[in-house]
Amino acid sequence: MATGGNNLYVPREIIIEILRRLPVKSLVRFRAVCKDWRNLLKSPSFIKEHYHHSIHKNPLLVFHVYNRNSIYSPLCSLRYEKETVKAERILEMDSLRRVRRLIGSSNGLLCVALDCEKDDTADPLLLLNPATREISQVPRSTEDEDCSYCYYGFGYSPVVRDYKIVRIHSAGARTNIRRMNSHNIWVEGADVYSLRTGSWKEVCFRNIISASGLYNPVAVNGNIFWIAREPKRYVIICFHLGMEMELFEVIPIPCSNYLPLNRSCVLDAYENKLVLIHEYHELEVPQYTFIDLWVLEEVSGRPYEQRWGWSKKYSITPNRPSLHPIRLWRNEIVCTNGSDPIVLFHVTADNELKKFHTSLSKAEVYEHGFFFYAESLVSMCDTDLE
Amino acid sequence: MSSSVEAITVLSSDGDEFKITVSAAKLSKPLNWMLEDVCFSDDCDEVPTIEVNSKTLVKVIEYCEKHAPRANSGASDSDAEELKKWDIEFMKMDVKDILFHILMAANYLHMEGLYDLACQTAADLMKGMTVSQIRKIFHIKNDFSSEEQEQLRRQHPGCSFD
Repeated sequence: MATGGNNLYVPREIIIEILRRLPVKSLVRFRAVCKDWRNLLKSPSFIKEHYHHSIHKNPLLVFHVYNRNSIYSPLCSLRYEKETVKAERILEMDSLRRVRRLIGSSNGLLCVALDCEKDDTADPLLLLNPATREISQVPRSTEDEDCSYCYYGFGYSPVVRDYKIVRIHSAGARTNIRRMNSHNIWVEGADVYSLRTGSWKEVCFRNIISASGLYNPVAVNGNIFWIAREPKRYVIICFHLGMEMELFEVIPIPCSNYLPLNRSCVLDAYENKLVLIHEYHELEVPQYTFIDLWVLEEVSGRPYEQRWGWSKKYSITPNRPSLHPIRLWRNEIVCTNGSDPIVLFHVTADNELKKFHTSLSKAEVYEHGFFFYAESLVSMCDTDLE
Repeated sequence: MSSSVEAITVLSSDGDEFKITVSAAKLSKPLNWMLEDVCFSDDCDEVPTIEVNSKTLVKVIEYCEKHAPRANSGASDSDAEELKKWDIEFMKMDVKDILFHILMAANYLHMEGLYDLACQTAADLMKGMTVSQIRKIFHIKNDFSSEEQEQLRRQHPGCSFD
């Protein structure tokens, strides 16, 4: 190896090792160092390595703060300190002032819906990378007209290497309520936007027409999952992003004995699988909250339609009444207890409890609107990231 | 090797002799292999050379001696906290003058902990640097044409490329 003097030549592998640890803001600037660095910083393998480091080093929960008078972007991330949690704005840009809600987060890209000018038109959508400040407007589609309410999902498919937005059109106020109730038709359309092709495409929604109240979209391993209500039960709706024939699938939930209990289930990702966190109470001991963590797995050897199976990872009874799970975070279940301003409780698998105070008021934050985020170099011009 | 030996002598690439305790030397895989292969007893004349200059080797040995007790026995949280603070103090050094040498020594000696620490320190130092400062410390020539530079400026307004 080289020794002595100040003219030390640092090998490329070590330079890459250092660059992996740099924040995106610096790397964007360092594209101008030389051609070799520019190409390196654009290469999918480096972007992937950097993102893995970023997930490990600085994982964040992002959410949207409702504040009509805000002069900044309402997108925030949670920063944990010893006993408190602070909300920090992740990007201050004029074009984001009209953000109405956060739809999803994937590999450092966020999908947001903006305030709509007209009531009967679908919300305009944006894709953005807050770290590189890249923003891309999602084109409108012909389905946008005559659409009063939509459910959304956003995710990445490693199979087709593409980011997609799924939109499910709810029959909403326009349709005759009596007809809807008698036939249980709540969904009247669905379409998918592909970042790679830059266009929308209608997809078959036949098996989810009776689903309503979809919430908590989670993208895992090339699928998007929601919790939804059907006339007599709660179900999981799954959309396969990577399949040639993009399609919806309905999966029963494991804890149906206790349902319907309004929004007592939360979805999240855990080790690249879907988890369902179920909170319930027993009549004999109403003062206790019980929380079960279920994992959805594909069981081999079963027919295709029955390939999904739930397995219970663990059950806990936090020593504190009325906790509502909202998210899984670094293997801890994040709960709220209804207090205002919001207090977050983290429950570990060993039933330990940590408490964090926030300055967020209940009215500002949608409890099912938290998404996992880590900054990345992923660009919307080149979607080749696995 | 003889279990009675507690410290060994090594030579730096400049030819200076250094003592390092056996438990500290074990933090490095190549040194550990050396310990297993070579007989280190009091009357053994063989002194292995480590291809690291004296200035760097002093620092590397200092790191090893500090970290060895914890690596060998495991430590409490308060010890870990103390060690973290020590690492920060230890890493207060000039990038070109010594940090890059430490980085390469850690890589060559397969010392994961020190390598990770040195990479992170280098990253923290580089984070706020300008493009021309980066070129200077890595001896990189700007190979963009003036048109390409202009294009980069347009793509990233607000960023300084000098």
